[in-house]
Amino acid sequence: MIRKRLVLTLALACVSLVGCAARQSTITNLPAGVTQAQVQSWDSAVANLHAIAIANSNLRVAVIQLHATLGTNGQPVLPSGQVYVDILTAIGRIDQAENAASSFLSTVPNNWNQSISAQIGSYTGAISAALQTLTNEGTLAVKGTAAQNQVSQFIGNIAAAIKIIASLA
Amino acid sequence: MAALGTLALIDSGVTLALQIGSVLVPLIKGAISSIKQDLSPQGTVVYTVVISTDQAELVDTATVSITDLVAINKELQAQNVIPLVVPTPPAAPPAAPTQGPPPTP
Repeated sequence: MIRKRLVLTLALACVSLVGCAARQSTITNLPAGVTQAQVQSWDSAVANLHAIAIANSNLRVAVIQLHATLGTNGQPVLPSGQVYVDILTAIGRIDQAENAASSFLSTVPNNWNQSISAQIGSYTGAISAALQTLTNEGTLAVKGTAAQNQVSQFIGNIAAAIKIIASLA
Repeated sequence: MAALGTLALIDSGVTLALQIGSVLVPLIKGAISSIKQDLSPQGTVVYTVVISTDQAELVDTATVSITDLVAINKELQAQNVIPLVVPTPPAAPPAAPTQGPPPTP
C-alpha cells in the first residue's frame, strides 16, 4: 500500500516538472514600451511559481499520507510531535509565500525589472528558508529510505524552480 | 510530426483537406516547413494570450496554496497547534476580450 502511494506521488512529481522551461520563443503584438524579454521573464516566473505550488502541494499530500501510514513496526512512518508540526508549518509558509508572490505578479503583467525581481526574490527567499527546515527535519524524521527519497524529490523540485526564478535578469 | 519532419528535409509541399461527401475541402496548403512551424508548441504567440493564460495560472497557484493551507490547518489543529493565516481567495481573472456585435448602420 505504501509502495503504491509512493509510486503515485512520484508520478505526480514528474507531471509537476512540466512547464518549468521557458515557454514562448516569440511574443507578438507587444504594447508600446514593453519588451519581449520583460514578458518572457514574467512568463517564466509565473510558470516556475506554479511549478513550486504543484510540488509543494504534492509534498503536503505525501507528508499527511506518511503521517497516516503505519510502518512495519506499527508506528506512523512520520510520527506526531514537534517535528511533524514543524514540517507542516514549513509547507504552510511556502504556501503563504507563493500566494503572496502570485498576487504580486498578477499586478505587474507586462513588466520585469530589478525592483520586481527583488520583490519576487523576497518571496523566494521565504520559500528557501522554509525549504531549509524541510531539508533539515523532514528527511530525517521520515522513516524509511523510499519515503525519504520521495520527500527529497519534492524539495528538489521546489529548489530547482527557485533557482530558475532567481536567474531571471 | 516525425513524418512532417522527414518531408521538411526534402522541402516538400502538402495539402491538408477534409472530405465532405465526394468533395475535398482544402484546409491548409503550403510548404511542410511553414506548417510544421505553425504546429510547433514553441512558436509565436500573441501578447494578450500570454497574459490571459498566465493570469489564469496565477489564480490556480493561489487556489492551490489556499487548499494546502486549509488542509495543513486541519492537521495542526489535530496536533493542538495554532493554525496558519489563510489568505483571501483570488478573484477570477478577467475574461479575454471578445468581439462585440457589428455596428448597426
